[in-house]
Formats: sequence, C-alpha cells, structure tokens
Amino acid sequence: MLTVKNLTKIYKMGNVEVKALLDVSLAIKKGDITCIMGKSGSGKSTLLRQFGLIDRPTSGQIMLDGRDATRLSDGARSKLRLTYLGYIFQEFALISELTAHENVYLPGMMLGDKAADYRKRAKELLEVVGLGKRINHKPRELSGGEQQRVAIARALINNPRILFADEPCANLDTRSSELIMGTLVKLNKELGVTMVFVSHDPDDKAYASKFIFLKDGRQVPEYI
Amino acid sequence: MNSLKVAVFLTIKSIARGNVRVLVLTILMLILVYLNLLFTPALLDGAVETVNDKTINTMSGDVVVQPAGEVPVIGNVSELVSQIESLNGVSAACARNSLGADISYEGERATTVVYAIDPEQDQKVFRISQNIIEGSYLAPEDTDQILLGVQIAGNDRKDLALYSSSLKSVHAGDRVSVSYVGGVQKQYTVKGIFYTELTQGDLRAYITEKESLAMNPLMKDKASFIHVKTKDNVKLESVIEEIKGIRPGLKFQTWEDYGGFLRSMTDSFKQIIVILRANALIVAAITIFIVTYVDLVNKRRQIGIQRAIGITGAAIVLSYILRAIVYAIVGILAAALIFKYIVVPVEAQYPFHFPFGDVFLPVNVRYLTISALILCGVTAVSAFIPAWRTIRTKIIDAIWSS
Repeated sequence: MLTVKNLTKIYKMGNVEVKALLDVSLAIKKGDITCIMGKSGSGKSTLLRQFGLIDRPTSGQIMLDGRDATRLSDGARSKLRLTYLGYIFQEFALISELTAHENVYLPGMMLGDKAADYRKRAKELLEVVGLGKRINHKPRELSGGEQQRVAIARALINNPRILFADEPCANLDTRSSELIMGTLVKLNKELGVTMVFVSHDPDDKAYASKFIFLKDGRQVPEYI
Repeated sequence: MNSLKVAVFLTIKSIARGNVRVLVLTILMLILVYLNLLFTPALLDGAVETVNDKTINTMSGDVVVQPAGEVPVIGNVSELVSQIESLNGVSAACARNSLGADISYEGERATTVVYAIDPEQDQKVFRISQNIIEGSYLAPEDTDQILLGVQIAGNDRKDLALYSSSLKSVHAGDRVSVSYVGGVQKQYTVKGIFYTELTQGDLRAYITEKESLAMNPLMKDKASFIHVKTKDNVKLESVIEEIKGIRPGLKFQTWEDYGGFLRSMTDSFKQIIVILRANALIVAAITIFIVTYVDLVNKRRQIGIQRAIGITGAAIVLSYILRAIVYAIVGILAAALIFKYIVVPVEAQYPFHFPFGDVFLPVNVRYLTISALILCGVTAVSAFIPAWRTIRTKIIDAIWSS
C-alpha cells in the first residue's frame, strides 16, 4: 500500500549538503507493523516524514495505493494527511487551548463530518486509549503518557489507512512506553490499521512484524 | 466551509482559554485607539461646526446678496427682501448697509465697519441680540445709539484677542465719537456690547437704519447687502437660482464663500484629522501585528503540527484574522459606549473653550461606523500578514526548527 523508490533527501545548510536519505526503496504492506530502526542521525525520522507527506524528498517516488504522492500539490497532500494518514509525533503535540476531546475531534471537524459523529468517535477513541474519564482535561492537566495517548486517538479520528509514529515513547517512562506501544499493537489488531513507527530502542522490536534498518541514510539489511 | 468552521472553533477556544492578560491588554489598546480615532477628529469637527454656526448666525446668514457691477448698492430693497422671504426654501432675509468708520473714546481709536440694520428684521436672520453682554440690543426707533462688538469696545477685558487695538474700556452707556468715511462725525451712546466669540464678528458695530437715514436720506430703500437665512437641508444653489430669477444682475456668496478667511482653518483641521486618523490606525495595525506575531512565534511548532495533521493553512490564517476582528469589535463597542456615555456628556458639562466659543463633541454615527469598519479592516490585515507568512513556512521547519 506504500511503496518508495530511490528515495533521496538532501538538506542544504548554507553551503553544506547533508545527505539524510540515499536511494531508499521499500514497500509497506497492509496490516503490517513496521519498525524503522537505526542509530541517531541514520535518517529514521527523515524517512518517516517522507512517508507522512510532511516533507518532500529531493528525488525518488512515494506511491500511496498506486498514487504518486511526490507529484501532488500542497493542498492535495494536506488532504491526504487528513483523510488517509495518521501521524504521532515524538513530542506531545497537542493544542494547548483545547481539551483532550477537542484535540481528538479537530481533524474530524476539518474533514467535514457531522459534529455528533466526530464527537462520539473521539470519545470512543479516548476510551480505547484508556482516557475515557479525562476527555475534558487540557494537555497541561495530563501526564506525558496521557498526552501521547490523546495524540494516538487524534491520529485515528479520521480512520487513517496508515498510522505513523515517530519515536512515540521517547519522552516517556518505561511503564508509559509499554502502555503506548501496547495500545498501538492493540489498534493494529482490532482496527487493522497499518503502522510504521520509528525507534532506536531494541526492545521495541518485540512490537513489530517488519523492520527497516537505516545507517547513514542508507537502507541496510540488518540493524547494527 | 470546513476551514471556516475550524477557524471559528479555534478562534473561540483561543479567546476563551488563551492568555487573559494579553486579551485584556489588546482590547484595552484597541479601545484607546478607537477613542483616539473618535475624540480628536470629533473635537476638530466640533470646532469647525462652531465656527461655521457662528459665521452663519452672526455675520453672513446662509446666502449673501450683493450688488454687482459699478452700482455699490441694491435698490428697491424692501420689495426684494419680501420677494426673497416668499421663496420656499427661505425662512428670513434682512438688508444691511455698511459704513467705514473710525471710533474713538478717551484718546483710543479703532477702525471698524458700522452696519445699519433694521433691528427687528435683522433678528430674524442673526443671533447678535442673544450675545449682548452689557446693555441691550437696538430698537428700530433708536437714534444716537450704537451697538459695539466687544473686540472694538475692549470692555476692560484684557484677555481679548484684539484688546490692544480696541477702545480698551468702553461700557454700555458710555459716549463714543464716530467719524464716518465721507466726513460725517457723530456722537453715540453705547446702547449695548455684544460678544459672539467669533473675533471677526466682534469687530463690528451696529446702528439702526433710522439713524443711518438721518445721516444720508439718499440711502432710503437701498442696501449694501441682503442676508438670507434658509430652511434646514435646502440647497443654497437652488435658492440663489431663484433669487436670480427675481432680480437679475446681483452677486451671490454662500456662507462658505463669505467666511473664506475661515476656510483655511477648517481645511487645516481636516488635514490634521486625516493625520491623526492615520496615526491611530497605524498604532492599531502595529498592536495587532505584534500580538499576532508573538502568538505565532510561540505557537510556531503547534501550528506546524496542526498543518501536519491536515488542518488547512486557510483555517489557521482565518482563525487569527477572526480573533483580531473579535478584539477590534469588542474594543470598538466598549470605546463607542465610553465615548457616547462618558466622554461626550462630561465634555458637554465642561466644554473645551476655543477663541471662537465652546466646542462640543458631535456624535456622528456615520463617522463612527466608517471608523469602526476601517479599524476592523486594519486589524484583519495586520493579523493576516504574519499568519500568512507563518503558514508559508515548511511544516518541517515550523515543527523542528523552533
């Protein structure tokens, strides 16, 4: 469902070129939980951002269900992010003025669903991630793990085909991390959501069914 | 449509749950800006209105009719005045004769123009009789009596603008000597002194028509000017055209033409109003720009995330524009209420005193509305620019370069 061909991303920092990704080609299949692994600076997050249409590659092709996403306009990519993809950030990326419930249903509102529908679904999703009793709390009233679970619920509000998570447990303690990863696996099994997550923690291998190993921006056969 | 819905939602939440101190200070700033937009221009408008009102009611009337060509007077005046008064748009008319003269009193001398008037008819057009500060107004049968403007009499008021060139200490009941151009000399008792507060108007003197005819019987039924008072909202040009139809060959001036010396002042006031208005709007624009810009800098990453999860740039920009407009509307409403129910009544109680009289603040609803719309527009643009620039930043830079 997601295929990348010869993906290269080069950042220019003044006169210096930073080769973040070099000629990466791979495919993500429906229903997989794929883990992108590699050391710091290996290009894991850069690759995920290309998958999530948050950044544009320097060259190469990203095919989403047969459609070339690299050729789409910003508006079309924005719509794809809203309807087709879900993205969970490493940091707790919630809107500070909105409650957990409002944070979750905002993308549903943007999609144009009926208010009653997206409110109900947001509530259900918050219950799924174990926050059914904290829906009216604002981000500052929630712990890091709870905020990340709100972000997961938000990423799922529009029934995405693929969910991306960029080191979702990086800022969490072990217990919260297990809860988050457990929640993601549960969602994959119960809702059939295809999942791609980034991690540098070898323990997270246990949650994935497929792996992509990166080193210095290149795909390598095995994590070193 | 969805963008608008999300923008309204984000606006409501950011106002209701955002930083209260920033909200209050921003609105306070906009209240001051709107008050500034209203107050000084209103004060200057009030000054212009006062000057115009006094010009019309003490010196010119609405239309001044004068002889044209070589003949220095208008003949058959009584008939013409009656005909003018019978016109639809006219409420009254009166004739005046002007005589150049020097007036002297106890060694002081002042040059002036003495107007010969029919006091009863003159009162229908002018309000000089309401501005008597000493003695009384002229009666039609008065002879050997004169009415003096305070700037001529001096009246022991050293604070007068032209006190130094006045007769200094003339009061009602005093005797003054008048030497008319042409050589006639007369002694008059000062029957009254008037003070219209319009300097040019207070430099005049008045005698009765009867007194004037006693000196020069040839002026019977003749006049130097006819002053016409029109009804409200009547076009002066149409009245002038009608008078031209009655008696061709006359010269006409509207009160604006007649008070030409005041026009430069009112034009300057209008320029000052434009400058002050522009200043107030620039202050409003900068305030909203800074508030929006600071908020955007603080929320740069959050906005990047909103865009990353599919919230459109239009929704984000619109939310900032709507928020600025809400600030402006609240500020405008509060300022309008303060202006109407506090500033205007207090100013009416303690009016500003100008050389031409007390100035009151007019409440011009049209101007209030236009100013409010302009302020809303300026705040919207001031919010749009930084918001639009922010959403043009790459998502990746917005989220990870903060």
